Amino acid sequence: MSIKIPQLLNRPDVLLRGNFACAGCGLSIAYRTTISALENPIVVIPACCASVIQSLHPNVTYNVPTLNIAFAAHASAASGISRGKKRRGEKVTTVVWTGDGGTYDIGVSTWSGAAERNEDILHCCYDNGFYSNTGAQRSGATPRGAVTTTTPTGKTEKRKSITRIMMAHDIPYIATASVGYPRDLYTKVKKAAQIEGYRFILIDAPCPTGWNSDPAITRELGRLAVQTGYFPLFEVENGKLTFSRRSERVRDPERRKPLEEYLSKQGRFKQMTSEAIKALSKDLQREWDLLARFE
Amino acid sequence: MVQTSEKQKIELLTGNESVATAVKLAKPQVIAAYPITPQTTIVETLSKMVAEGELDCDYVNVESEHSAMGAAIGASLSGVRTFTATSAHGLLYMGELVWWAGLTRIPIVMPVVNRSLNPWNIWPDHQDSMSFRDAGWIQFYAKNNQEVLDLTLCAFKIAEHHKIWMPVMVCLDGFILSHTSAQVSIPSQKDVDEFLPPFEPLAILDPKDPFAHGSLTDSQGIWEQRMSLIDGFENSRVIIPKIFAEYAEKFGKLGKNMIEITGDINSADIAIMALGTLGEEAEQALEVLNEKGIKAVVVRLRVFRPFPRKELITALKKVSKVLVIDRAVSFGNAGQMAIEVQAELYTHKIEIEFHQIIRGLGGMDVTYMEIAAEVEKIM
Repeated sequence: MSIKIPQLLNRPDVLLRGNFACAGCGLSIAYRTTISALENPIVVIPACCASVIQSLHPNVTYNVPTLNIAFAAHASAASGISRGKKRRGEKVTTVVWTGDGGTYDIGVSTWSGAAERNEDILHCCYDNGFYSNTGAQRSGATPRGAVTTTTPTGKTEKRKSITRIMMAHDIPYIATASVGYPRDLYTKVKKAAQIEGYRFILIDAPCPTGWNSDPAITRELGRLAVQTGYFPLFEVENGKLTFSRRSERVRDPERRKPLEEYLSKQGRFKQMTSEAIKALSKDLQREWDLLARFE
Repeated sequence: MVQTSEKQKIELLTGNESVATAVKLAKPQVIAAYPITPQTTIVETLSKMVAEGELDCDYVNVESEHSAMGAAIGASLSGVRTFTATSAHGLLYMGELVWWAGLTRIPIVMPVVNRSLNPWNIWPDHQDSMSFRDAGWIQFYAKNNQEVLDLTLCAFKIAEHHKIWMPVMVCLDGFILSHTSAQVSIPSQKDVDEFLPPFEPLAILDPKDPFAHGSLTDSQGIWEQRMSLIDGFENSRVIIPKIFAEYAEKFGKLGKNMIEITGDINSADIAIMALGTLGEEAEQALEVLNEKGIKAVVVRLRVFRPFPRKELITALKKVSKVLVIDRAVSFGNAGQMAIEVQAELYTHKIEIEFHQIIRGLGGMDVTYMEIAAEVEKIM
């Protein structure tokens, strides 16, 4: 599927002006790109930045029906919506829109159940690698070495591989994407929209406020994450993994930009020693190798 | 055997089968449920009905009670009639979403098959449902299997009334009702269809008319929503008796009142108050007491939320003593019903002798003889 630039420019306005997002917010780019690609979306949002940036009731900047729900109830509520709308004969796209906390940590049970039942839901996780909404605490998605407000000297554990956990559910479609490459994200969302069943898209979404990075380089950080091999882009269709073009290009570690180039632009990695960077590098390569087994 | 036909008929049903039969007649479109003793046979029966095509409904086998209520909330807001059921720890585990449904007014019907809380004990008391009396749900307590069926059917109509639009919890004592068979009169589908019209959503998630449900709200907005919920309960005080009366007229079951008085209140010296099956047990004590020359009545709250103040006060004005038997405790104070009855007596300056006891915790048997003995002690 090839998406042309004008197509991206003529999308419906799903995120209206006046929202509370910070400057350079990766989530807003991810949301606008994703939701605008969908027909008749109904979006379920658990506790996360997306639940607060929509503005104060009764004002709403999301121009699509939205159900705000408890942290660990996104996929269950979406299951109910998806089933109910089918009963009513209405064609909608039921979307779960969560941060990494809701997907990696507190909400595992609810999405795992929904994925096992293969509910007709598109689950999108905008991943900034920590609890951004509550002020930058560690999550299961935080990479080793990153400083958060609850890991003041850097996280000592590796980042959880949510995509491999998701793969164990044998759902029809899994993809990773980045706000650095909105066209790739848009294309993957369009593709996912054509598939019935539980679909998962993990979106790398830089957070300048929590990462202590320049809000002007959000897109660049997204690209660097891919170019340094930090965040591999791929799709898994019916169990078979395919690295996306931009990641396929950097499959050989020699062809990647130095990881330091990505890390040095973020305050959260400032304190990392070269040993710590090596340990993180090892985690990343290990993940690449494990993913490659599913090709 | 659970069966319904075109005519009202009598069958031997357990309390849980009575729930399932009522739910089948109410035709929900989405059921989301998770097993827990002693509720399990409700969802087993319903899943069998769905599998065998007796009930045309989506049955969502969720992975936890938290998800059961999550799915119920989503389904209800998608615009369909929705049902779930639970007990004890299941209710606590879904607690966050029980509040969510209560405070944002989602018209879900949920029986709570009463069971004690930890340490592990599967037998009945009211600690589970009483922990949620403040959660914005209407609460019924059934005394027998017939009332379980009747209240469940009424629950749908009450929850979905546009001036109420709130979730309803139908509480029934575990095992004493849930697993014990009794004769139950089952109304016909035709009559139920006349009584309970199809689901008409007041709020619906619709791409043609987007809105955000449950979004970030400031204190003014929270105030307005809470006041609206309080108004909803006030409306329910008026509407519940009307719906009960309509049901009574149509099916010959259930009185029009939110409380049931057994015995002659005008000649009674003492009122015994108890919820659910304890209330029915207390009815048995009346005869024993009568033989001993003690004139007693049972004042049983069929509806605990809204708290039926007016009916209760009218009744208690006529007696000189009241004994409240609670099957749960508000730790650090007393039995919940006792606290609330005391508050009404004080507010309305009714100076009668007040007595309270806590009985039947963790399924401990409470006999009519014991209840009679407690009354004798007071007299």
